[in-house]
Amino acid sequence: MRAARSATWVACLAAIALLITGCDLFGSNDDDRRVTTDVVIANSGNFSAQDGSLTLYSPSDSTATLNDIDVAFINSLALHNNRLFVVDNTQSDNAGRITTFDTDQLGPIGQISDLQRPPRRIAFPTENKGYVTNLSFFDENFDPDTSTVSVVDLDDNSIPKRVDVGRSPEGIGVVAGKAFVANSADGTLSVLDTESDVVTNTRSLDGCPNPKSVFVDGENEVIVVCQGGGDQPSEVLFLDPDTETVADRVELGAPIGSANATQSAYYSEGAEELYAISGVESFGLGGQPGTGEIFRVNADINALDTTLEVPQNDELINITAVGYDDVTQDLYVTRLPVGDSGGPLFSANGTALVLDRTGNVVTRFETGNTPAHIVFLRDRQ
Amino acid sequence: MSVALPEVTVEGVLDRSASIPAAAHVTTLDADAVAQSGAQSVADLLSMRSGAFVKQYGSTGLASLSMRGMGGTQTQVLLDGLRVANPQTGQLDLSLLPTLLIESVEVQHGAGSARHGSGSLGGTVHLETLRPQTDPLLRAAGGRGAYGERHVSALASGGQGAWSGLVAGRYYRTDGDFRYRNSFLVPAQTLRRDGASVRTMTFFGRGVWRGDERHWRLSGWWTRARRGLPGPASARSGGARQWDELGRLWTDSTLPLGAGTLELSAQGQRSRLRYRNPPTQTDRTTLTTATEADAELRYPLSTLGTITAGTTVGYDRASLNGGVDRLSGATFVDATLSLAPVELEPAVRLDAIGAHGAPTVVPSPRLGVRWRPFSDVGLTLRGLVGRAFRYPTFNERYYEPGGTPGLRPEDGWTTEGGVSFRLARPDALLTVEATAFATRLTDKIVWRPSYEISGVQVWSPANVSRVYSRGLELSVRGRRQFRSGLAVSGGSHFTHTRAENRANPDSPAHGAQLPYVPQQTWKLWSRVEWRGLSVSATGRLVGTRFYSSDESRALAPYQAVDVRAAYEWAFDGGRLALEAQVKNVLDRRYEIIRLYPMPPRHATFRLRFSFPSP
Repeated sequence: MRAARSATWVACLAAIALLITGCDLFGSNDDDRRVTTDVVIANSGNFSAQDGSLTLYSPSDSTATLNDIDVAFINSLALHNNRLFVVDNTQSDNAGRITTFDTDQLGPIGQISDLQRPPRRIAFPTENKGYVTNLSFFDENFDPDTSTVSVVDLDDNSIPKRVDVGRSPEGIGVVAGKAFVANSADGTLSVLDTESDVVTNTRSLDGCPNPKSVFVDGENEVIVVCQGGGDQPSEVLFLDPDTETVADRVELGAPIGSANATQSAYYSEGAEELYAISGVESFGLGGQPGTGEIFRVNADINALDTTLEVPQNDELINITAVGYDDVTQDLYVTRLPVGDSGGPLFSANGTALVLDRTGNVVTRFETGNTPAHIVFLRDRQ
Repeated sequence: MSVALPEVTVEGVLDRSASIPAAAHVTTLDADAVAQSGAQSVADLLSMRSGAFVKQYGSTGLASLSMRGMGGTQTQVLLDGLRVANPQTGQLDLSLLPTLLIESVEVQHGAGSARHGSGSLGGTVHLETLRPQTDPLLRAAGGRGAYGERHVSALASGGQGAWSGLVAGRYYRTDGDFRYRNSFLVPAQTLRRDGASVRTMTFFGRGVWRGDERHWRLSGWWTRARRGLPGPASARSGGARQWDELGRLWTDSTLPLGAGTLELSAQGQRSRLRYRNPPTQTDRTTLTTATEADAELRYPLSTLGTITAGTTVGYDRASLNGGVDRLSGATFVDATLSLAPVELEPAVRLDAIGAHGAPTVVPSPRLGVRWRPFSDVGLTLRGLVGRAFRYPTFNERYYEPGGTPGLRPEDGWTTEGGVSFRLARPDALLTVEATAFATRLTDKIVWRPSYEISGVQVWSPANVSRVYSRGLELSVRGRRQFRSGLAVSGGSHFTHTRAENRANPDSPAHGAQLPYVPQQTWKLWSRVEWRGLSVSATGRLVGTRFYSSDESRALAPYQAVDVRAAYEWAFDGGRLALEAQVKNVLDRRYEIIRLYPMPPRHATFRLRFSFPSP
């Protein structure tokens, strides 16, 4: 009897100890095995030099390596099927290409061309299909024309179809058999059926100036970041993908924007958080300069969580890209060096700051010329 | 006893133009040097035979000069003493100016605003056009080469009594479709350069009346060029094209006035530039006109020297932004005072430029000193200090969007010192020259992002930069004529230029070399001539050019060697010459500007005929 009681006590103590130390008895706690192997920062380069590059930062040993890859002016990055998609602008033909690299060696393995317009973002409605938003061309009064989404067959990198959308299509998010494309110059969303590749609806986003970034959150809501402009404030919209209506709005306190017009917002799936930067401090958007703030929005409860301020420095200005590593809980922001007049210099190497969740600088490292977009390469151990 | 000396051709010792101070570093190319270079354009000529760095966007693209760390808009080009730069862009595309029109070239290094006004910060290129003779002269040439190159030209000159005249014309075309490796494609491919073709047509005419002490000239030049703008070789050409049309009429006369000479000149120039880019549906045409009238009085000061005083008025207009214009006026005094063995060259010029509101007034003083310590030795020491400036271009002030009407002129001071040695014998000539310089430039105009329209960053120019440039220029020229009829000549230019950004100590650009200013260039050429046969070689070694502002990215140094062989047959009254030229004979793959590849090894052939024999 005593032995049985002792065994019961031992079993209870062991169970409590295991709970306290977090031992995964059932092998279901996968998050603990995710490891960020590299932080990939795309450096746009200088448009006239067409010298885009990649900086790889290893969080484990805090080293950064510059990889000179033969791409032109990088607009964005995307990860899909262990491939890194580098989206660039080429100056000569005013078009661009998307070059794919394997994520192990970063060697080029394929190329999507014949886009006919400068590609901006790529999203993946299915395993073997890509949607590419293409930038508008501008007339002499700087009015953009209506542009397209290119449908890409990822098996052979061909373009079987181009779909007309609105003016200056930018971000794109895919959920529930639909793709939502933000037409930033129109203030609208084009909704595409991912089966038939046709536009089924063009929805006006009232009170949403300059919609640019589009994400899909953990509740399958469509997040649209309206950057603001002129007197209109920036805000984040949460849409129901089925009814295509706005379910929630979160107002931000400053105009959102990247100084390089690239990655002004980042959505972290693991943390269910959206990060948006007010990065255009030096020359502003629509006459309203940015504040250097970083807004963290809780996408679970659809509310502004906190506002961080990027540490100021005489040698750095503006913010060009943002990314949050939910594995290490580090926030990455990239900044530009100052030029002759104290404004941004687009022809010199930039700097990445690694911040903790309270906005304190943990470390910093040098990037290539004009950092523009951040993604994370992860592995499981 | 009589001794028959071999014929001597004196090269590079022309009297320099009266407007160039003797204390300045000058490279002179006379008619023989121009002809013997084999260069087809002034860009090629200066690239091969001067200390200037020619910045060219591929073999058929824009070519502009860089001297002493300054760029194309900061280097003045004068045609027969009159400015030729387009007031909208502030520069002249030297690839569009054929050597067919050129009699001689003088490249003056350093500050020249005390005499030539705006734009003479890094240097001044003086181009003298052909002078007609009364004796009849007929020249014709034609040739072809790789990548679809064809050219044909003709010149006729003659006169009677006090009158003489000259007409010349040239047609040139090339497809520019050489092969290059495009590593931006996956997999990398070797392709032909597309969209780089050029067609140019040039006409030149001149009439001259020459009296005992006076002369009058009327000249006209018209060029039309149509060329592709293939852009960086990271992608195929988008089909962008440009049409340049330039018409220019100028006149000058020389009159005696007391013991002195009065020179009067006037010019009118009209430029039409059309740019078309199908992918962006851009089709834009701009017209600019530039007019100028000059008067100069040169007066001897007994044995003391000479004094020159002059005045200039000008009016420029551009169709930019609905039509913009400006009025300019200047007056100068320039003296040469001989206090043997020292010569002083003080000068000052006052420019007033503006159109609406108060004009911008810029004084440009200069003092040059030349000292010949030994009367029987060709050794000369010289020094010069002067101020130079550049008035903003129409584009910088009025381009929409982004132009900044309130820009100030760029302001520079140059100090230089040099030594030269010249040894001349009946059968030989040797000149050696070394010059050290330092230039400080403030209020340099640079374009920077200023605001956004429809998501597009608009860049605007501002007077925000500073440059400190210093360096060394070495040049050697020599010629030796042997009794056998063999003549050997050659020369070299070496430049070291450290041109640093000094604008903002917090910027990584501070202290860095300016983009596309090579720290070193070395040019070397030689020529052997014997009984109508001549063989020449030209080599250029151009050092690292950074294309980022912080010296983090650079183009590798390049070496290019051209070889040329010609044979001339002289017959009754005429001369026929066959030339063969191999460019880039070492077949180097190189770029002067990133992603604008230059052609690999290729050949051109040319047949020339002249009557009578020169």
